[in-house]
Amino acid sequence: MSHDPEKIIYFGKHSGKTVGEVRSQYLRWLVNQEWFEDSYPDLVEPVEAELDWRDKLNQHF
Amino acid sequence: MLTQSQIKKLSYLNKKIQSCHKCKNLWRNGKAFPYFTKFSQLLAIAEGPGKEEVQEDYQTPLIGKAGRLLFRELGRKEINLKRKDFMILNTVQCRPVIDGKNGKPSLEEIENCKFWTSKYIEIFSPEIIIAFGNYALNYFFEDNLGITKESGFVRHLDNGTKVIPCLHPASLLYSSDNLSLFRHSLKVFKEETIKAHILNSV
Repeated sequence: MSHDPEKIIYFGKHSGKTVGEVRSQYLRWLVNQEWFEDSYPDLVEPVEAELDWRDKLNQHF
Repeated sequence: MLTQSQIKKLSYLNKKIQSCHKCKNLWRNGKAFPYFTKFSQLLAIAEGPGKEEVQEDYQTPLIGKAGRLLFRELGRKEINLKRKDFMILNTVQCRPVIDGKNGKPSLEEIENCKFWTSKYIEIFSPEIIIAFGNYALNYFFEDNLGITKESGFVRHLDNGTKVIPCLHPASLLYSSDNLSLFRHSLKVFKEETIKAHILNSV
């Protein structure tokens, strides 16, 4: 899984921020939405990879 | 499919809308930011966000009970539309509250929010719109139309855009009496998308 924390989120409250800048709570919520994969397929991998990375380093915010 | 330029402009609006304090108190109740994807081709407009939709962080329209019901109905085989096919807006982006519960937006609040809503619609430039409930319907038509009477009929804006009025899915949470009327409107909406060659037929 490629880790790309610089991937830009172009929707919602965090519009314009990178995946790496957004709180884990929101990223977790996103990956649990049944529509996330359909709606933003290009963001699935970066978001999951970022959460994995934060899990490993225990660096959630 | 939305173009990169449209996505850029819509993202910019999402950023700008965060700091909108146009309505005296409404913004304090939280916002839901218009939803769109690069696949969005249809516009769905509802009334205003509810409690679930303005929760810190999530802030997305039609993710509460009514939204789940709506997308379950849209996902049925004969309609076969997904959330990603839509841009979802509300007549007001902040949550109207009365006595601590979800309320109705005032005319002044709707008018204030038109500044944003009209910009989203202009950038998105949809061919077909589905309007959920009286507030969404009367956003486009100033004739004080009734949603039950208008449901399932195709109306036209001056620029030729089609508007299909539909009962608000929240009304079905309390009574399923109007489920067939609701489904009929969705069917009419789907037929219009096929006629316009917007999405593949089922």
